[in-house]
Amino acid sequence: MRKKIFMMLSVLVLTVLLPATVLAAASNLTVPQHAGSPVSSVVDQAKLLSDKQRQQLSAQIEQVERNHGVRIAVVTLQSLQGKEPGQAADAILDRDYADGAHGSMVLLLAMDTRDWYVSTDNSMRKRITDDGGFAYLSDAFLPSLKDGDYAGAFRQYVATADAMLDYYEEQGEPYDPASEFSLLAFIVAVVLAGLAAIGVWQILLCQLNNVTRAVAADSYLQRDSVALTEQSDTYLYTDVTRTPKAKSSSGSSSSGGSHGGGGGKF
Amino acid sequence: MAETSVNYKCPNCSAPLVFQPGKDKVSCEYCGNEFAVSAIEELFQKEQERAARAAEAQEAKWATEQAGGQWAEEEAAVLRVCTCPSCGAELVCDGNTMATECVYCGNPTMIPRNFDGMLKPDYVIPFKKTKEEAMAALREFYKGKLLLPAEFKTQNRIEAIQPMYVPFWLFDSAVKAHAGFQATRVRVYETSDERVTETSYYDCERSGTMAFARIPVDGSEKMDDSYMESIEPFDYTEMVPFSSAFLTGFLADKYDVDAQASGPRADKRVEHSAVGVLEESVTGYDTVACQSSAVIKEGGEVAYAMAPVWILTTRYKGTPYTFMMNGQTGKVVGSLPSDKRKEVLYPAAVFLLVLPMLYYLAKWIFA
Repeated sequence: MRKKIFMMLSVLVLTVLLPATVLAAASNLTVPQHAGSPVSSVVDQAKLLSDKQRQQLSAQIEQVERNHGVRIAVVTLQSLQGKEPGQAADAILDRDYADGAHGSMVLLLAMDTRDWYVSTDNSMRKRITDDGGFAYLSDAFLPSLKDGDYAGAFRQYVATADAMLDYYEEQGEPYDPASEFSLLAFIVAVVLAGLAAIGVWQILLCQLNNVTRAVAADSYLQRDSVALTEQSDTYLYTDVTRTPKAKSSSGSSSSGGSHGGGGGKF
Repeated sequence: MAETSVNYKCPNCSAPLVFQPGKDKVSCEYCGNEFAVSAIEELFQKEQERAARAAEAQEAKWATEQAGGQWAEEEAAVLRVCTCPSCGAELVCDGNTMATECVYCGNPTMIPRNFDGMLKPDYVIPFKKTKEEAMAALREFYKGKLLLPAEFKTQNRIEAIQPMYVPFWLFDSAVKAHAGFQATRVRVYETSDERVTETSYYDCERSGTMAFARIPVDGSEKMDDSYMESIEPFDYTEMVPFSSAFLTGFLADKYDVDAQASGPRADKRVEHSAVGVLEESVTGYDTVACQSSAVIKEGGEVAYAMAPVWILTTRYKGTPYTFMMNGQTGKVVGSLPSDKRKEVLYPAAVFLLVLPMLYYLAKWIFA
């Protein structure tokens, strides 16, 4: 009997409290708060990670945050309740993770719409730029995200951010993949430069010899002797070629004022 | 090239065409195109006529027997022949003007002997350009040639440039030309989902007559035909009947390629130009391509003339390099050696200069 009462009470408590917690998180788009302590860097409301994975990710993030004096967060939600992912991520960043001395960054996942968004504050934006840096960061974790390997994706997100922050501290400038050596561009440049060199070589060689055979006798034609005696044009046939038009494709991108980053679907 | 036999074939893919009795259209079994029987018959009738004309053209000859004349005894007595023991060139000069070096190979030892006859030229184009002008032209020719070896320029052989009359056969011909052209008109338009290209094919037949006067073909085997054709044309209004007096102070090459052997070269040039004249009359199309042609020589006169050329051959590392200037018009032509070191350095400098620019450009494009 006591067991039954306990179970009913538990169910009642859960029925009342759990939706309230979820709704609070979803509607206000905040992560659960713990009074007096900083908000956890991993908030897995969508339950994508096992406890062990969450702990490992938290430890990894904590290490990076300590090394670089930044806040890095991963927040997963079941739903954004119709809000824009960018606005939601910016709001979460400003509310819960704005205390990074050298910048803050949040990766937000919404499972119902399969949206992802990384929001960075202005300090972090100097370290992970919207142009080259963000694309490099997102390229690192998006494949795993699309494959459903959430733990792997979050690990790569944190590890890549760590490497980019290391680069900034060592080089004094943000990491930009465009400044990396590109083998493809080098090969193309070598081929084109080789062709240019061959072209110059040919031009210089041609300068040394202006001997050319005459194939025609136009200079010796007596123009006033030319008389056309027959002139007939006969239509033969018509050849028709049809080429389908290429379908146009569209894409979108955006850039913000006080926040950086970007997102998309996974 | 003119063809001498004709088969009925599809104008589009050249597959054999089979006519069905009683039908006014014929389809190609290979490409599926349909043609009006009348158009095909007309097309191939013209083709047959041209094939017959081409066979006729192959038989026409040049009247070479009229070219050149005989020397008077007193003229022949003052002439000498200088022979190059190195390349075998035979240069004719009067007794006072001996060849000092071979104009063809640059060999400095010429062996004189008595004149032993050749045809007397009908005409001569006198020299108008002086040695100073020829030397100035040669110096100008050397300018701006980045690969020219410095030591070649400093050999200071410019003063060794020599004036020489080069033997030419001048061919006059009146021709009848026939040619069939395939012409196309292309219309391109777009529908909502595709781009349509309509190419209409036409058979354009053209015939005409025309005359060519004094097409020069050099009669010296030693003289590179390309050089002589490069310094064309000569102004024939200044050509005068030949006199041995013109040889005073100048060299003259003996012809060793007769008019009969030189004729085919003139024929080729005439055929090319005649077809070109007919092609100019095919207008109003987007593309025009000659399918077949026949050029029939109706009259072919030949004259023997001497044309003035300033010539200098310099040997560099065992290879002769020749510079020539048209002695009448001043047009220059020549070949020069190249410095192998510079051949590597200049392209390498360009390579190194453009490589970084191209690298960043490629990187920017691929980013």
